[in-house]
Amino acid sequence: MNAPAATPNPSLATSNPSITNPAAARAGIGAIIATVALALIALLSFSGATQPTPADKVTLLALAVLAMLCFWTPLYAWCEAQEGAFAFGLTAAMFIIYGLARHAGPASGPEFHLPFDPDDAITLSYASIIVMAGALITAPFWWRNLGGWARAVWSAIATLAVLAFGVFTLLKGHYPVGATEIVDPAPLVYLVAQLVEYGALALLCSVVCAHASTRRLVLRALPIALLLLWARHEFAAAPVADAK
Amino acid sequence: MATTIEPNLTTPTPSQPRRKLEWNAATFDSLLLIALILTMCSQMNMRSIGKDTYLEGGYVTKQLFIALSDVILCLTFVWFVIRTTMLKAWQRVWWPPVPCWALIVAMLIAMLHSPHVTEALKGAHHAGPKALLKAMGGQEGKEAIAHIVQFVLYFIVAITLFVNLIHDRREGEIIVRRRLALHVFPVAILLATLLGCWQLLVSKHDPPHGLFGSSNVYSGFLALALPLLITHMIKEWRAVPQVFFTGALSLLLALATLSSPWAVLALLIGIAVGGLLLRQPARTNILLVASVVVSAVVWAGAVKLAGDDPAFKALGANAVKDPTHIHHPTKLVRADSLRLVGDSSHSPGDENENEKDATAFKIKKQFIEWYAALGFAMPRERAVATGVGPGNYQLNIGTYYGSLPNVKKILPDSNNLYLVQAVSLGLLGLGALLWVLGHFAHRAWLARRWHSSDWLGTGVLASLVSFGFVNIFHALIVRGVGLVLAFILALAVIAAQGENNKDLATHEHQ
Repeated sequence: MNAPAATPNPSLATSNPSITNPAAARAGIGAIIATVALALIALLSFSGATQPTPADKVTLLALAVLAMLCFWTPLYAWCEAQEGAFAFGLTAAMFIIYGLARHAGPASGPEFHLPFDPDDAITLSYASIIVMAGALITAPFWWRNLGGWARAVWSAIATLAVLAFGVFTLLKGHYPVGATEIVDPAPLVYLVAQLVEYGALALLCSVVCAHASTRRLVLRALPIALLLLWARHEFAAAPVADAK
Repeated sequence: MATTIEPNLTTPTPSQPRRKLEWNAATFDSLLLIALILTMCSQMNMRSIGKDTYLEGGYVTKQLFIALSDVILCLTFVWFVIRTTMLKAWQRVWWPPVPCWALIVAMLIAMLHSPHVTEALKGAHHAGPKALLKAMGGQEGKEAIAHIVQFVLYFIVAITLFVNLIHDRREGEIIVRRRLALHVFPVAILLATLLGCWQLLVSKHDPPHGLFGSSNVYSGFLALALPLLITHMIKEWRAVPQVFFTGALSLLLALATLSSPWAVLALLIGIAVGGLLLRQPARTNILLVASVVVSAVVWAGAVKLAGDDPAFKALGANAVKDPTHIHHPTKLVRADSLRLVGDSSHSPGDENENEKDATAFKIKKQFIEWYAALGFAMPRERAVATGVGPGNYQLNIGTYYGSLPNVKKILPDSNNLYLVQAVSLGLLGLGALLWVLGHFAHRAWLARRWHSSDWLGTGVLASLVSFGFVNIFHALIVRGVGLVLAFILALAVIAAQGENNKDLATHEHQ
């Protein structure tokens, strides 16, 4: 069967170990940093404080099976030829894992407020600190090498941000704004915070997938991580920690 | 090197049996392609699956409607599978790119990660397969499955069929049906606008809607389809006069029958983008921009005049007990569509205590719902990443209103597509959707670069820009317009592959 019309994966150019390429070496450093960040996030997701829902567990198991099919079979070669396939797959899995990890604490930690909503605080979890620090540190590696998938995620973020702030601006001109008023700014606050976190996570995933070695390592290990995570929360659920 | 053949429905069949079979198959392909293009510009439902529970029990559950275009699509798909197997041509089939598959995977993840859908399954999985099926037949499950099936039909099946039927690659030859498709599509648009014009003259109460379910979908369809037609008209009006005639007449009828000023604005933006990207002489570009600006000013003026209509003003002030006395419903709907503030929906309907609240009508409900949709970001929802589940927007949006005024329903098909997809599929799904649109827009852009004398890539870009804008005000990936979108996306691939397919292999790997 002919491969579908595909834009060649530019990251394949970095897979030849015989090429001495300073740019490839630097990319490798960035990929390692991003891999470490993702690994820390995955570790946090094992915490009992994450309080996974039944939907989380079902999704972890399903993703583990899907990851085995895509990354442990000859399908891996097909995915490697398609630009963005690996970045999307890793991002999808990490979105679920991060959704758990960001509830792992701390119970009370650093928080800040946005100017338009002094009542609702954005609390920085361990996971959010790791993901944003990781994205900042690896900025030189993704800044000029964003693939189609990462661009699409950030286009979605920009679209939502413009729509959210635009409609908030329209409403606040006609209705009172406040935690107990008609227009509650809390959704806007939480939306902005989470969009930045998930956007940073997508960038880390794209950096990992841009380098052949880290890509292979992470994607081959991903099904195991997902299975372990599922088993951890399905069979060995720890007493739920008090969020406060 | 493959031979390129234009289909000719009247060509005598060759004498050899296999060639005769292949030629008959090609003829049937052409007929099905024509039927598919004609029926995709409509929303004619043939039957429904599921009970109309609103009439029986007063509650709403998903009813699946099977449209004529769905039947033709399925028939074409089954035929395509049979004939490709008979011709042993699977190796030459074009398949959708990764973004399309990623969108479906994102929807599946969103369905599994939806607490509402999974909650229904939680109690059922111990009880066995029958209980599982019953749980999936609940409201949330039905909505999710229906949406996933729709998106698979649009973004996988339909695109595959359109590309492979228009550039039909077989052993030693390629049958090109580009001209056929691009002649039938304008005819379908013209028929839709003629019908809309007839409805405008005949109907006293409803704005024109063609063969679609609502005037908003009809408007969105024209905003998506017409920029392609107009781009073709600008490029080849001298060489092919019938293109000019069809395009000009369709545009005039569309402007007369469109009830959504947002769709009109999207259409004008699309035409401007198409015209400017065509690399016409400076004088033509100036004329084009001037025409668009004048059209926009005239249109805005007409809407302003309609807004001053005394009958329309009365709608905002008093409850209208008998809407049959309202004249010119189309221009009133247009004027109402442009308003950001106030609401004309003081109309008879279910009693709602909030109707007495004056603050409820300060901002149009359509825009209040935009802010309400942001409620999916609240920590208790855990829905930013993957949403509340495909098709579950309507089931959840009510709970997000909080203190926001929630009086009356918004008009059909006037949601914001990006917010609906964000709430339903989360950032993962919205990103995948934009990835699909961006991928095909990029293909159209490359087509414009590789084949500078060809207008098709530019036309697709114009349509996609218009589509991107109009979806802010009308969520259009619904029954009736989804197939048209698939057709436009397929044309991006056709444009990139080149008019004569000579450099097909070269461009696929650039």
